[in-house]
Parts: sequence; structure tokens; C-alpha cells
Amino acid sequence: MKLDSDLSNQLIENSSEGIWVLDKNAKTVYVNRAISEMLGYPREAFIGKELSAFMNPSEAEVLKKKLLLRKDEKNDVKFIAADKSYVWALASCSPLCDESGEYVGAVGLISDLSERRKNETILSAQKNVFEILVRGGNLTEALNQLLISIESLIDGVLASILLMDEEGKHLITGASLHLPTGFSEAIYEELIGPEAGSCGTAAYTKKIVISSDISTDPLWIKYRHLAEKFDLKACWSSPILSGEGKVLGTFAMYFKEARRPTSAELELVKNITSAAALSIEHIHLYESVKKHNEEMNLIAEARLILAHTIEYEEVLNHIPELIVSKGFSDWAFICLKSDDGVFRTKSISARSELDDIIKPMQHLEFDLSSNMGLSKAMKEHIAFYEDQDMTTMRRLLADRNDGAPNPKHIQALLDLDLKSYIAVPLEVRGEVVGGLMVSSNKPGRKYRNHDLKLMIEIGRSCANAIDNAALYRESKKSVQAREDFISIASHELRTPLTSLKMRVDLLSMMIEKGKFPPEVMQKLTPVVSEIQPDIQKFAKLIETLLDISKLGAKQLSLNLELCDLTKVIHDEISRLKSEFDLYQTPLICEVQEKMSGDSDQVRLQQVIANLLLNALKFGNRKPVTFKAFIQNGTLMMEVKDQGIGFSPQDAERIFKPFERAVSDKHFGGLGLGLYITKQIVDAHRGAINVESSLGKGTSFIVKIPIKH
Amino acid sequence: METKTILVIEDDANIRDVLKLALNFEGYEVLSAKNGKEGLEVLENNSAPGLILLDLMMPIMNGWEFVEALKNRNIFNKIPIVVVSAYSERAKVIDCTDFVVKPLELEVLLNAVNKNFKVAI
Repeated sequence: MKLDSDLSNQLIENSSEGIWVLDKNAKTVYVNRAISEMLGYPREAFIGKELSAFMNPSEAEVLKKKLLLRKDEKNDVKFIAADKSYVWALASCSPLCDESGEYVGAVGLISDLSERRKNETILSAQKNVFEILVRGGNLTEALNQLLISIESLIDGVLASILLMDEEGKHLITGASLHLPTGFSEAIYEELIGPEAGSCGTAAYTKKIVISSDISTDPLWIKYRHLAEKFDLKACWSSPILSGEGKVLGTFAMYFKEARRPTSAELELVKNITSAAALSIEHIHLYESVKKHNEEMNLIAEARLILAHTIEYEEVLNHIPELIVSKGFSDWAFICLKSDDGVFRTKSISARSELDDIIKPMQHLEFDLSSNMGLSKAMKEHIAFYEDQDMTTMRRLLADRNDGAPNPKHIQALLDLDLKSYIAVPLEVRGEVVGGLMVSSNKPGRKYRNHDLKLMIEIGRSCANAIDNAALYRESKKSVQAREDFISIASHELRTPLTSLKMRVDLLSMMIEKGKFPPEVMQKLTPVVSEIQPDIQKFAKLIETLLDISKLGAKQLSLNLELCDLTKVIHDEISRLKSEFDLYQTPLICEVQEKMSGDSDQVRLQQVIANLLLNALKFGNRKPVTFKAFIQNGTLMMEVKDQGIGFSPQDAERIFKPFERAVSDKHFGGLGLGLYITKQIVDAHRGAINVESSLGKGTSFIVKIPIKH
Repeated sequence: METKTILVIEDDANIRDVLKLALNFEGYEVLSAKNGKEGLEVLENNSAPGLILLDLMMPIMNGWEFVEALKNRNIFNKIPIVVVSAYSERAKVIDCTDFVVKPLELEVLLNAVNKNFKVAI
């Protein structure tokens, strides 16, 4: 088939591919309709011009060099269309030669790749965004990727993304690359509204706002001078909406010339806006999870600190420090009610650069007549947050006579430039014992409901620690009182008892030596002989009490000496034998021969006596066995009875003072024997273990390390 | 017959009293003092006793201080001292002839006194 030239012309003219013919001087001689439509110029606008007239000069330079090589090849080129938008194309150039082979020009086949290119660019930007988010990068860094892509797709654009603040009323900078910083700062935290520039209006109306000429747009009245100052002539702004239709921010494109978007550009804006929405929502989700974790951590750490010791004065000091170090607050303190009923700052912490300002706040007294801040919280038993109003503060400072809180306090608050605070009363059983105050001086950090909940939780933990400490102190006090009583009583009893005992001894000595008439002697002898065992018992009890008071004051010191352990043990057993005989209880002893080692003889005998007398007392007159031997440098002593025994839950109790596993109605004694025994064994760095079962008997095993 | 004299230095009046009774019963004359300082005064104003029975824990001048003070007075440092104390380990440290441990056993005390008593030269 042979095509006639008319048909060829028609085909060329109507081809969807662009066809561009240049003469040998690279001037345009022909473009088809596709080219004219692609770049938005009438056909005659091309004739006589070089390709470079429709491109960025630098890119044109590169292309020109390639064309000079007159090779058949394909090149990516970027044209600038009549509406200033970019047109990406694939150009394949072929040299044209006449019949003699002379170069006469070139023909270019131009395919429009703009759509594909735009989609690719946005897709890769989105991919970058999520890569950044996944590796924990911040929102600004991620949003910058979107701005980079848009600035590469639209000529001369200055893109920025603004974010909605927590309240949903103000826009703050989220990201911007080339928009003048002065301009961004000037519009920071501006209120949104129906006539608040392109962005403020877009956020308010939730609709895209195209201000193609700022100088005449009524929405820009308020910011026109500002735009002029920074040479901004047009602004297109699109609201960034969440999946639920909530405004997250705005995506804005500024131009230094009055300009309206092409439909392709509008499409681009939509794409970028939805990519931005995804990124912001992702970050919000991520941040809220992260924040939640941090808050959980803060509470856990606070509780850990508070549980560290029972002395709350010490641990409460760390709480403001913790709150500040976790970045929750710039300045935090706790005040507590002193013994005189006045509330005073107890511990205070602030970011280090605020140290000088907080100095006057230390040991400050709180005036509960004031209706502000922590005073109010403590007076009214309510926890609350508040954004600080500096004008009120200044007025209060100026007008010191209206019962305003301490001027030093207010001055410090002014110096700190507080933006927001939380005040929490610390309550113990309905009574306010102090308060917790955390404050922020960063403009973006305003406390809200869930921050309040967090601080209430921390406040509750603090109050709990205070309560525990108070209870502990009470119980310690009563233990101390008992110890004091024992100590005083035993010392006071000892002296008269000593003289009483000596008097009785003297009396019995006189009787022995026959100093009285026989008839008197006869009557006196049984009286005196009955007094003496009572005095012995009395003396023993007092010695026990004295031991207890020494233990209470941690005075139990050992008098370690190298001694013949076998003899020491035998001596004590023979002393106790008479007691066992008295109660007709068999005592079976196995004591290893020739044992020796460092020990406190008197204390060791006390241990043996306590355990054997205990076995005698609770042994039901059944045989008691005693064993003593040395194993691996340790003196082992075992005392075993077959008596009443006790249940496992009593096993821990029996070594405590004044405790006894069984009711004290049936058995005499103070219940101190085992306590003293354990203290003596502990002082020897030994161990005492007990095994018992109810009705079957008890066995004690004592292990005392013995040095040779 | 020569009188045998003992100086009792003890802050508790009751114990001082019973010691005097017991020592009298054993045939000793007793001089007594409430503390170390008084003890020194008694020594200055009387002929030297054959033994000093000394408590350690006393107000004004305690037993240790008394022993130190005595060392500087040559005429008295030959007198035997029997220390009476609840703290055997402390009594051992002090420079004394013998000691008896509280709570006092009368028999033990009298044995120590009889054993160490030294008739004045």
C-alpha cells in the first residue's frame, strides 16, 4: 500500500504522539497538534524557536549537547508548559538527511509521560514517608518528603504543611522547605476562621481555598501586608482531613506570582493532601501509643521510687525530679503540711536552665486564702489543670493588698513564663497533707484532661507513701515505747533486786552460821529457803528483759573466745538436768567429744538453755533429745521434743518478741526466749531453723560457724 | 586485835548498805563513799584500808577515773581493788586485783574480799 502525502500529513497531524521537526539550525519548523496541546501554546508560538525555549535553561543545555551528537536515542525531557506546569516526556530524536545524505534537520517523537511521572513521584514520596515513620523518624522529616516531591513537580512552588493544635483552633508549622522562615513564624499559632488567609480558611471551611491573587483576595485582608513583605502572590491551600473528617492541618502552595492551578495541578494537590493525611494520622497514632507508654513508665517509676523506702521525706524528693526528667514538665514541686500546720514547698525540680528562677520557691509557705493554683487545689480538695494567664498574674503582683499569694511566688511564676499547669492535692483519708504542682513553659505544651489523670495517679501514689510512712512511724513509735519501758523497767528493777538478793543471802548465811536462837532458826529456815528460788526466778526474768532491751538498741555484742565447747555444753546441760528431773522429763544427750572453737560461752549456754527449757515446757514430759557436733567448721545443735508442736503458719512468728505459738494461758514466761536465741545465733552469723507439726513435736536446729 | 577496814565505793545507797551489813558480818569495818571523788577524800582522811570494793558506773567520778587518780598517789596504789561490775569485759581492762560480776552473789563477793584483803603494813 502506498500512502499519499495528504494521508501522511493527516496521520502526522492527528497522531497522539507529539511530532516536532527542527531545521539544521535547530529551529522549529513544524509541531503537530499533540505538541501544541501538550504544552498549551498555539502552533505558531513554536515556529522558529529552539526546543530550549520550552525548557529549564540548564536542562535545555544538556539536551542540546545530546542532539549535537546526532544520534538516534531516547531522552527524558522536562518541558515547561504555557501554564507553568511541568510536562515530562520521552523524546526520541532522529536526524533528517536529504537524498545526498546532507543533514537537514531532525525530527522528534515526543511522548507525554507527565501523568506517569507525577504518580511515580508521589508514590515514591509516600514510600519515603513511611520508611521514615517506620524507623521512628519525626513527622516534620516525613512531611518534608512530600514537600520535596511537590516542589519537584510544580515550577516555582513554595510548599508548606501546617498542623492543627490540640484544641483544633490554631495552625502551627508542620513542615516547610523554602517558604521564608519569617513568614512561617508570623503565622504560627494563628486562629483559623472564615476569613483567615488561605490556610486558616481552608482549615475552618474544610474546603480547598485557591487564592490566585493575594493582593485582591478578601480572605487575605488580615495577612496581605505580610504576604507582600515576603513577595508571596498566590496561595492554594487544601485542608488535610482524617479518615473521620477531622481537620489535621492544611497543605499550602505559595507562588511568587499570581497564579491559578491547572486541573492536573489540582489533582496533584489532592494526592499530596491525602498522603499527608495518612502520614499525620500514622504519627498521631504512633505518638499516642508512645505517649501512653511513657506515661505508664512514669507511673511505674514513680511507684518504684515511692516503694524504695518507708521514709517518704526522702523518696518524695525524687518525684518532681522524675516528672521533669521525663519531659512531662519544665518545673514541678511537692509541698507538704508541716507539724505547725503550714504548707511549705518540700521538693522542687526544674529544667537546669530554670534553676536560678526556682531558688526563691524553695521553702515557700503556701497561703491557703489564695484562690489560685495549688492553694486552690488544696483548699477545695480538687485537682485541675489551667492555662496560665499572665495578665492576671501581673495584676496580682501589682496589687499586693488583695490577699494575693506570696509576691515572691508570683514573681517566680512570671519569670518562668508559665503556659499551663496542673495542681493536685495530696489527700490521706480525706485530709489534705500536701500538693503536687507541675507546670510547663513551652508554648506547645498545654495540659489537658488525660495529663491531669496521670498526675492524679502520681499524686495518689505520693499520698499513699505518706500514709504508709505515717503508719509505720506510729507502729515504730509504739515498739520504741515498749522497748523503752523494758529497758527502764529492767534497769530500775535490777538494783533493788540485787540488794534484796544480797540481804536474803546474808540472812541465810546468818542462819547457816547459827546466829539465831534455835527456836527462831526453826521458823526462819523454811521462809528463807522459799524466798531464794523466787528471787532466782525474778533475777532471771530481769536478766531476760535486759537482754531484750540491749537487742532493741542493737547492743548485743559477743565476747568471742577460744573455748572447750564440749565442756561448755556439758556444764550447761548438767545445770539444766535438775529442771528436767523436776518435771520428770527424760533428757537424752549426744555431745561430740573434744570440740573447741571461738564462741561466746555465756551466750552459747543461753541458747542451749532457752531451747532445752522450751522443749521441757512444751514437751509433754516425753523424752527430749539434744545433739551437738561439728560439721564443716560449723557447730550443729539439735533439740528435739515430742510435745504439742505448732502449725507451719506459726513458724515465722515464734522468733519475734512476745510471740508464742500457743496460748499463754497454759504456759508461763515472757515469750522472749526464742527471740533472744535467734538474736544470739544471728550475732554469731549462724542460723536457726525449726520444724514442727501439731501434736507431734518440734525440732530446732542451730548452726553456728566456729573458727579454730 | 587489829581492825580490818574496807572502803566501799558504790553510788546506790541500798547496795552500799547491804554490802556494809555483809562485810560487818564477816568482821570488817566499812568506810563508804558515793563516788570516786568521795572515795579519794575518805582515803585522805582515814588510815589506809586493807581493800577497796569499787563500782564502775558512778556519777561525778567513775571507777576507771578513780583507778587512774589512785595511780598518782603512791601511798594508796598498793591497796588491792576488787571491782564490782555488770560488765566483765570492762572490768578485765581496768587495772585491778580482782573482780566480781553483777548480779552479786554474796558468797562469791565475800570469797573475793577475803582472798584479796591485805593487812596494812
